[in-house]
Order: sequence, then C-alpha cells, then structure tokens
Amino acid sequence: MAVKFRFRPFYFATLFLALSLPQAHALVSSEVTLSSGYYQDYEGEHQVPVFLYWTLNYTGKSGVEAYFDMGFNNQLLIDQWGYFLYQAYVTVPFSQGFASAPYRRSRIQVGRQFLSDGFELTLLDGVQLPVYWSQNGGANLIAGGSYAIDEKRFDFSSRLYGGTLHQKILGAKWQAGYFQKQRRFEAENDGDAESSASEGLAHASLFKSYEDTFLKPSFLLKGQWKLSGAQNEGLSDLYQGYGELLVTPLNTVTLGTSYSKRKPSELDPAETTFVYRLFAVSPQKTASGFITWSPNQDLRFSTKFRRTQFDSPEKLETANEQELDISWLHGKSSWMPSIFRLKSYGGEVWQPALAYRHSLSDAAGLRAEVAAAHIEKLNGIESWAYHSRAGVDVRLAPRLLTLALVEVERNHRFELDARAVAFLTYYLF
Amino acid sequence: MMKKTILQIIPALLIPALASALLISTASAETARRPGLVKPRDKLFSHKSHLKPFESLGVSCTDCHTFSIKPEETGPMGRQVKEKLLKPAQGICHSCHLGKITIARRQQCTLCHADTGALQPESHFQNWKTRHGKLSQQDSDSCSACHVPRDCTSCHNKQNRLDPQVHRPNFRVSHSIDARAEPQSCTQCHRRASFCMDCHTGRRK
Repeated sequence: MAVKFRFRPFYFATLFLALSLPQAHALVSSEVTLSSGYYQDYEGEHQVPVFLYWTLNYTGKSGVEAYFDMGFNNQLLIDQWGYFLYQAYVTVPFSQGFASAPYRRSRIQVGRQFLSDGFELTLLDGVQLPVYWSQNGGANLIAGGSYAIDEKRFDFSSRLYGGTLHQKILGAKWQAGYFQKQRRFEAENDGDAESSASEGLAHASLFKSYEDTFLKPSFLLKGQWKLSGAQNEGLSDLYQGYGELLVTPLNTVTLGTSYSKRKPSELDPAETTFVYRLFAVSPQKTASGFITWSPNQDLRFSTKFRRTQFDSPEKLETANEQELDISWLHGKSSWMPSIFRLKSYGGEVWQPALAYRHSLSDAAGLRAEVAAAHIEKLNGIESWAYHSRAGVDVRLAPRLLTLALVEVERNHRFELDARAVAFLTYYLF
Repeated sequence: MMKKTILQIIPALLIPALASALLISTASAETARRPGLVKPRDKLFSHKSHLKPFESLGVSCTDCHTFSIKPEETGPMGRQVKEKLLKPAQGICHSCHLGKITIARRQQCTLCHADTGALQPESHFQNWKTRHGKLSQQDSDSCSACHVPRDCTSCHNKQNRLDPQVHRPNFRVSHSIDARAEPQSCTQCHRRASFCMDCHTGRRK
C-alpha cells in the first residue's frame, strides 16, 4: 500500500507536466520520462529507484526562449528523494541569425546552462552572451558561478569570467580567449578565515579542413596557458593542449591521430585534485589513433588505440587501450560486435561484446546486448564478468513511447544480479 | 542450487535468441535503415495545421512556393517549366524547422524522418565519442543545427543508474583499471571525493 502511495507523486507529476502544457502549440516542446526498476543490492536488500526527467522548451513569438531541464528521483522503499536541476535558462535574441546559419544568432542567455567553450566543460549559473558580427565570426562572453557537472549546489564559490573570440579566416576557424577563474575556499576550522585564489588562463585554437585536397586532411590544434595565479607558467609553457590530424586516403577510409596533455585545474574543487591524485602525480599525456573503414553505408569497421603516460621516472603507469567495433545494418536489424582491451597499472581487462537491435515494425523494436569481460586487477582479483540486457520498445501512441528491459549480471561481486527496468516517455511538440 | 540452474538457463536462452535474431535479420535483408520520410511528403504536410505558425512567424506563400523554376529541356521548343511548378523545393521544411523554429530538434526530426540515427553526418562516425567534446568547444553553436541542450545533459549530467549511457558494460567491476589509465576523464564529470566514497564506504548500495 505504501509503495502505491509513493508512486503517486510520479504519476501526478507525469500527467501534469505532459498534459497541462498548451496542447499542440507549435513553439512548445516537452519530454517527460518516467523510469523505474527493481534490483537487489550487494547486501541483498530490495531497491526500487524511480526517476522522472522533464525537459521543456518554449519559444515565444518574439523569439524569447525558455529552456528547462530537471529531474528527480526516489528510492521508493526507503523514501529517499533527490532532485537535479540540469539547466534552466532564458534566451533573449538580438538578431535572427543568418540565412544559412540561423542558429548563429546574437543573444543573451541567463540562468543555469551547460557551457562548452575553450577548455571549459561546466555548468554555469550566470550569463552567456554570444555575439555574431557575421556568420563566420563573433564572440562569446561569460560570467557566473561554475560547477562540476555532477554537482547540485548553488553557492557561487567557483566563478568564471571571460570570453572567446572566434573568426573564420582563410577557411580556418580561429579561436582565442581568456578566462579568469576565482575560487573561495571554505575555512577548515571555525577560527580560520575563508581564503580565495584566482588564476588567469588564455586559450587559442585553430581548426582547418582541406576538403578538396589529396587525403582531405583536417587538423585541430588547441592550447591553454596560465598567465596569472599560483605557479604561473606563462606563455612559454603549455598548461593543457590537444592536437589532432585526420586524413581520408580513400572515400571509405579515415585515419586519425591525436595527442593531448591534460590535467585538472588547481582551482577546481579540492576533491577534484583528490580524485586525480588518487591515480596520478603529474599531467596526463595521451597519444591515440583510429581507423574507420566503411565499405558501404551499412557496414563500418572502426579500430582505435590509446596510450597514456605520466611524468614518472619508471613509466610504470603507462596504459594502453585497443578497441575494435563493427556496425552492420542488415535488413531491419543492426549488429554491433566489439572487442576492447585495456591495460593499466591497475590491471588488465578485455571484453568482447555484441549489441543487437531489430525493428519489428514502425512502432516496435527489439534490443539485446551481451558482454563478457576478463578482469585481472592489481588487488589480485582475476575473474570473468558477464553482462546482458534485452528488451522491447513500443510506441503506444505517436507521442508515447515505452521501453521494458531486463538486465542480468554475473561477476566476482554478484553471483547473479538481475534487474527489470521500464521507461515511459511522453513527447509534446 | 536454484541460482545455479538459473545461471545455466541464461546462456541456454541467449544462444537461441541470438540465432533467431540472425535468422530474422537475414530473412528481411531488403529493408535497410535509411533517413527516409515516414510518409510521402505530400501526406506529411498539412496547410491547415500550419496556418497559425505561418501567421505568427510571418511566413508567406512565396517563401515556400518560390516559382524559382528551371526549363526541363533546352532550346526554343523545349518545355519551359517543370510540371507541378508550385511544388516547393526539396528540403523547404528545414528553412523553418531548422531555422525559425527553435524547438527540440531531435523530436522534431522524428515528425518526418523514420530513422534519425541515419541522419548523422559522416564526421559522427569518426571516433566521435572521443572527439566530439573538443570539436564542440571549437564551435558549440554549430551543434545547435541539429541538437538541443538536452542532448549534452542526457549523457554528461544525468545519473540514471537504470540507464547508464556513458560507460561500457561491466564498468562497475573494472573501472579501477580505467581510472588508473586515464584519471583526467573521470574528473571531467566526477569532481567530488564523495562520488568515490559513497560506494567504497558502503553509503551507496
């Protein structure tokens, strides 16, 4: 009975969010997904998590746009709630963009938003001001609190100010910018005063693609330099960097290679450094490459490798990863076999896997995945781990989708871990 | 004993299931996935349902029916215009649905296209899962031609443990090997020590 009661808010919320919006309004788009499942945790206790996600996009006649993306969940049997506000912002446009690029419009975005600029990947609580003076050039100004993307707080203790200029010159996309990062550190003891730190980071990048040249090469180069703050390295020393080169020797074959030097910002939350320092004591340097071969549009082979190194004298932390994927669309089915191997100082894992999908009709499909991993870990554990997942998705009505899945795992922690999962999604557009 | 029986049954069920799938797949090989339309174009579009949006967006008849016609045959005796001269140009729907209207693109794509996955550009098959971040930081607005902000958050933010979309199968029992190989990739999303501690200290089950 209690279980029924705890489900009730989700039923009401789903119905309210899906049905109370202006029906069939051309400029409103909404998606509500309710999912629930059952499994036993490692202590043998029953768990029934329920997740509800809702996104809403509303565009007024003036072009003002509101975007809202949130979720909440409940561990049903212990009635423990969680909420997540992923994005909630308003966009006010200053222009309607350009004929061939209407999405490049000058605008102001205020609220919580996803930021991907320069070397930043963060949630921003603040203002973003993209400005375009042509469809090939513009600027993006940013100010606000920044958060790791799995954080749920609103305390503005980490702040980000700055901007990026971008312009297409001689067929290449150039970008340059500067960000000032500030962070307020909480006092460790009651008597201690709060402290703060800041750093100034410049970044620049260049992307160029030669579509009409032999091998059709394209490359991306980007770098970040610390100009002020602790351990100022100046322009002489690259703080973070990335370079990649792609060539297409045949219409069906693409080769790519990349090199990067990366480390987390010292001003990220202290725990970031903790998480990184658990495994590494120096910047991470990664070289990687890939080859894709597509003999036809229904069949693709892709292989990639990656080698990671750290600045230790012994080089014992070096890691190597290889992967081969095949994607084959055949009739109403798609087959995606793969094999993956990774060796690091934490151990070695290799895993063959197969994902399969079959379209039963325009409104229904089957899906299945199986994977078996051989794991050999630093702590002496050597075992096989198995994972399989299968289900069916059905479009019950043009706007109503359902997905039912059964997932089974077996590994050194669980002799048998099975769960049933159901998704119910309602679209309004 | 019961568990052992179940463990023996699972592979026994999986093998025939996969074999059946292969047979079904082979039998229906003529229907490949394509980004085609769910219905013929003249049945997809209704003037009646578009009257209001056209009015609010200021779209006039000639915006679609452009009369920009070309002779089918050259020479003085050639027929001057194509038949169905009022037929709008192919792709005219996109001038609003990818331009003036900024509602969620992926949902919008499924209004007309049968298989949105097949609409992906070639670049998205070139190690895209690894490369897309760097390229989106270079020009994030170019992604908005097809994607909505939710497309980022659905992988980068949402922690729906029932539907893990980022990590490979069996990651739960092998992630320590990955973490030592590339700790930077962990800290892109997981920056709080509590994320590790919740499981390793038994707080999260």
